[in-house]
Amino acid sequence: MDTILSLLVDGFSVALHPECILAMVVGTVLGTIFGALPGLSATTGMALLLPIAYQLDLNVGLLLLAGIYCGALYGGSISAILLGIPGTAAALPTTFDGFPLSKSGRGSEALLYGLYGSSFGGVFSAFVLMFLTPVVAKVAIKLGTPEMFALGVWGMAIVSSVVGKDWVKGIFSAVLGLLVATVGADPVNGSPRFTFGSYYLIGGFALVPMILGMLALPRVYGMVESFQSSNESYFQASKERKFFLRASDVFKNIFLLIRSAVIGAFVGIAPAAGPTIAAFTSYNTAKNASEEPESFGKGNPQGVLAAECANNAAVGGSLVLTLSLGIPGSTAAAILMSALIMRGVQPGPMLMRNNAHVVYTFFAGFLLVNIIVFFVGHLFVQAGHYVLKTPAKILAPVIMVICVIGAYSESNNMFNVYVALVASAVAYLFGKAEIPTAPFLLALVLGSMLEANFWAAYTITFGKIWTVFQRPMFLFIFIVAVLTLFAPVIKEAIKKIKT
Amino acid sequence: MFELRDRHLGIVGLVLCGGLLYTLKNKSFQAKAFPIALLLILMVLCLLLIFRKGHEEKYDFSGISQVLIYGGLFVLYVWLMPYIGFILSTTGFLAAFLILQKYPMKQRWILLFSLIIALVLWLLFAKGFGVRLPEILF
Repeated sequence: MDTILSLLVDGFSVALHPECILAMVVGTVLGTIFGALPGLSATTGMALLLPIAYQLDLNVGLLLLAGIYCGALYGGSISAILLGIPGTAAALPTTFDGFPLSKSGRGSEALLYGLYGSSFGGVFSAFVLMFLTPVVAKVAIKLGTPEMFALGVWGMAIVSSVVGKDWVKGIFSAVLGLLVATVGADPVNGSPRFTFGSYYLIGGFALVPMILGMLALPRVYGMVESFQSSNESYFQASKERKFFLRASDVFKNIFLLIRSAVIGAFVGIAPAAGPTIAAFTSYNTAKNASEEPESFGKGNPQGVLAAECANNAAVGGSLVLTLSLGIPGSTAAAILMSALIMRGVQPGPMLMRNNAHVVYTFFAGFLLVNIIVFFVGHLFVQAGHYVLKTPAKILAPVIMVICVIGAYSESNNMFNVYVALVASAVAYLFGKAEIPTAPFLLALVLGSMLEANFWAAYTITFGKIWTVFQRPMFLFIFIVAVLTLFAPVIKEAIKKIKT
Repeated sequence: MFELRDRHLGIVGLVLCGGLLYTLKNKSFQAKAFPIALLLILMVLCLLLIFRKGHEEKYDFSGISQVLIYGGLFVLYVWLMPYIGFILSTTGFLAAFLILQKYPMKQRWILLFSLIIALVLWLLFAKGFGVRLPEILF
């Protein structure tokens, strides 16, 4: 422990150099912009700035990339709250309550809740990185494909809280999402399914065009419908302009924040879908624990806090994997890993021993970056206030153009734009038929992970898939998944018994 | 104009599921196991949509004429973009959208405003963030 503390003191002394602070501030600002613009992400930003980071001193370059990574995760919440367009998949549950808050004239407040949740989750994940990396790495190494499958099942169990009033339509939406996720090459033999001869579909549907089509464009169609009744404004006028949240607003949610951060840090270990599952799981837990679960989805600030706190806390988990085991927990983490390798630093079990000073400077910087996100974020909150003041008649076509750019930038071709267009028509019909889109998107995010890990588990158990229940970690996650699935029913039954 | 109910949705869903099931007939077990299971569940849900009682109300398509007009404009914009490039198509789309809405601004100012927004977006994404937008004329 003494060694860790002395390494951290050294790390802070390096990370607090003016050039490191400048790199972190620039990285955070750029990252927030990248995260807020649909279609662009932490990965895009880090890839663009990787050559610049390579030219800089190792510590300065790494902290620049850390700033982009954390800034982008926070930035995803800005467009999710203001326009209902999640900048990243992990910000999907943020739209559920963030956007209704914006529509009702509480946009600044929602942005502040998103910012405070993100910062708390980020700082928590920095402490996890600093002090629990060896412990988390031991847990992470026990997560094989069966456990990844169980995590996917846990993620899907959350459907029970987002199916809406009509369970048939909710499950219909979720199963359709899983089916759409099977489009493309199958994970075992690579045999194409539902591609109808199109080579664009071999890799399946890209997530960004689907999110833009299913969430963003239907919101614009909603705006267009509201133009008919010209007296009615799409966004209600802001009731008051908020610059900060009161300490009491934060402290009354402190248990929710801690719980969300713990969920985020644990689930974040899962590669690729970690932050998304973390955000959904945390949102669902907050809803089930709330005394007013019916207010979730209609503009409850706790929904924003829970989702944002968890997806930022998940970053720590993914970085633990990257640094201590050399397994990138996300594409952005893979870029960070390549930045280390390019400078001759090999991530993996020997990293802590061979390059302890670099690692602990990064840990110290990671904490500082999340504190910088908090301060820089307040500026973006005030900028967001002006976005909501833009007349809807100008905002609507501009959002459409940004959606086109976002979908196009996924792979620099028009096919994804057409996918977004078709998805938007389907989502518009879903809206008219009162079929919720949230289960569809959740299933789409988790579908390929579920199928691939199921078949991997099937292969490693030589076809005796039931033997996965002999694995304690699998069993634990699976039981939690079953409890999550039936939580609303159990809660209702307990309520009935009490009354 | 439109009369759509849950049962119509269920019938369309059933037909689509049947067609998709047919496309899987020659696939290996691993390739078709998941999709078949999902399609069968979807078919059961479609049957529920068709036969359940108490959900006979029609869907509300009251604002669809506006959506069709602006959606059509959007489709035209997306279709034209690869042929005339991002800046021209975006300027045209934004200007047409604002003019159709009778936005309180003179038409030449609408055109200029649309061109400025298109240029700002192009500079931000194409030059700033390295997105290779369609550039036929620009």
